[in-house]
Amino acid sequence: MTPQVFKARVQGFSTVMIALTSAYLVYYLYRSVGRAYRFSLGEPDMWINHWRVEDSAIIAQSTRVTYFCIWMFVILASTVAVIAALHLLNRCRKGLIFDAVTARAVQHVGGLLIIAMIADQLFGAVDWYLLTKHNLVNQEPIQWAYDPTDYKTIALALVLFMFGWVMREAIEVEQTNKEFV
Amino acid sequence: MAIIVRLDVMLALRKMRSKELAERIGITEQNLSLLKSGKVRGVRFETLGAICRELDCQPADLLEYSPDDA
Repeated sequence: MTPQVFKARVQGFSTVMIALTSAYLVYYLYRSVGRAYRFSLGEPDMWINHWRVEDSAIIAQSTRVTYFCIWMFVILASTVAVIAALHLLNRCRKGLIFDAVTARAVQHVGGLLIIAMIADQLFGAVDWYLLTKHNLVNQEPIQWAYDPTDYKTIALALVLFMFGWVMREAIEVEQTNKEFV
Repeated sequence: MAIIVRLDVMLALRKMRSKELAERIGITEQNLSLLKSGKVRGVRFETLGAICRELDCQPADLLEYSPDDA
């Protein structure tokens, strides 16, 4: 495969991926923000009807707001990571594949994904605590919620981050070599 | 820069044109010009060896260290 063919394929693939990722982003925001809002503020009965919440529990408005804000932070972190991925795909679509800015964009996607997944794990730990805070009997403590998907994504994001780092170093070495005759 | 390139002096002594040397050692005239003016970050041993071969000289004939310019 010649470099021109490779570049054309990457550009084509990136264009398709931009369309798919944009559609996913809209769906993700609609679904996750909608759920967080309905559950914590919009439809108060959803919280009361949760199987871990006692019928007699009266949920304080401050608990609902805290729950909403916490999950909005996780959603925001994930959204920023997806936007960074779209920026990276857009550079590839333009044919800017092997340059320092693209390498940095790869690192950004990896780093932001790590932050989003760590936030998901941390706030997952207080999820049940907040849900059952107003139960009279069965209150759950703050506990680590093991989510294998988060760990897999963190591992993948680390690989992405390292790949971006190696790419940057390689571009720097190439640039230095060009200055030698 | 502390290193002064004496390539133009050697070319004059050997009565060889830049274009001819560039062709013989396999680099572009533009790069040879940059080397002559010292506007490069470094020179490969391969290039230095080829220049010494074609000009029948030693690396010390081409490069000079000047502490005043350091």
